[in-house]
Amino acid sequence: MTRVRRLILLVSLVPLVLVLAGGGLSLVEHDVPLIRYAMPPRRCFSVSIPFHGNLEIAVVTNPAVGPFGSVVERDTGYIRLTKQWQPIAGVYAGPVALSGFGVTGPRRAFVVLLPFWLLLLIAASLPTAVAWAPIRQRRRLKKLRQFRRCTVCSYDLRATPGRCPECGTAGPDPADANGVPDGLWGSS
Amino acid sequence: MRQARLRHYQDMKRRLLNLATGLSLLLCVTALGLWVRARYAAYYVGFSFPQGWLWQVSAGSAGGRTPELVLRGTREANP
Repeated sequence: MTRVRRLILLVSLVPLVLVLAGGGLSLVEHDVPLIRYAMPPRRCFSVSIPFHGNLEIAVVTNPAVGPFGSVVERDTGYIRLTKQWQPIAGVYAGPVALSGFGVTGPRRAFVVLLPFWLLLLIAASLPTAVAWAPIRQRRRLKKLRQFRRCTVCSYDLRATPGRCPECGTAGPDPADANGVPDGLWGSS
Repeated sequence: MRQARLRHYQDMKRRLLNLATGLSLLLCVTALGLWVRARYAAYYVGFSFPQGWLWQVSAGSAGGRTPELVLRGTREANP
């Protein structure tokens, strides 16, 4: 269990490190982000699968370095759709943009634009917190025992080291010099 | 009876938290993969529904900028 928790913590911290290393520094580039993706992809390779209507997966490649080479084809539907989009209103909350589209065109649309670093930050926060909880708990217990306090109610146990007079919890074992038993995260 | 109900509630809470943590971790790893993928090629996934709505999730690094995830919903004004 300990190894699993450490692995979760490690996996959660990787994107955070990447965010701090480079991705998060692009915040200033999001001043007018909505027009950027209104331009259609020039070439793409797409697969259509029936799914209530259609599930379409397309990989758009740079023609110069694209791995699909001569297999790529033009997705005319996507181009026709995006040409009619015109921004009418936008709400900007930091790097996230929400906008409505389509004043003159026959379609109505809205867009949510989310930078990957923010998505990673949100997704990694809960696993990080869960993985961090036992470490924090152990540090708290260590500190309480160091200052001779009850680990349940924080009552001062210097006068009554055997048992807490407040909640009845047994005090730390006197044989343990450090006052901290070997636990999940190893002794210090 | 009350103790059993409390224990049941705590078990449920723990399971939900574990589920949310697992899903969050999955989303985290997926987003990381998509982010790396978007640095080399743009892509989109579209879901079209009979009511006329078309949902698209796209990502790419147009103009050499940092890749972003775009959720786009469109619908015919007069279907």
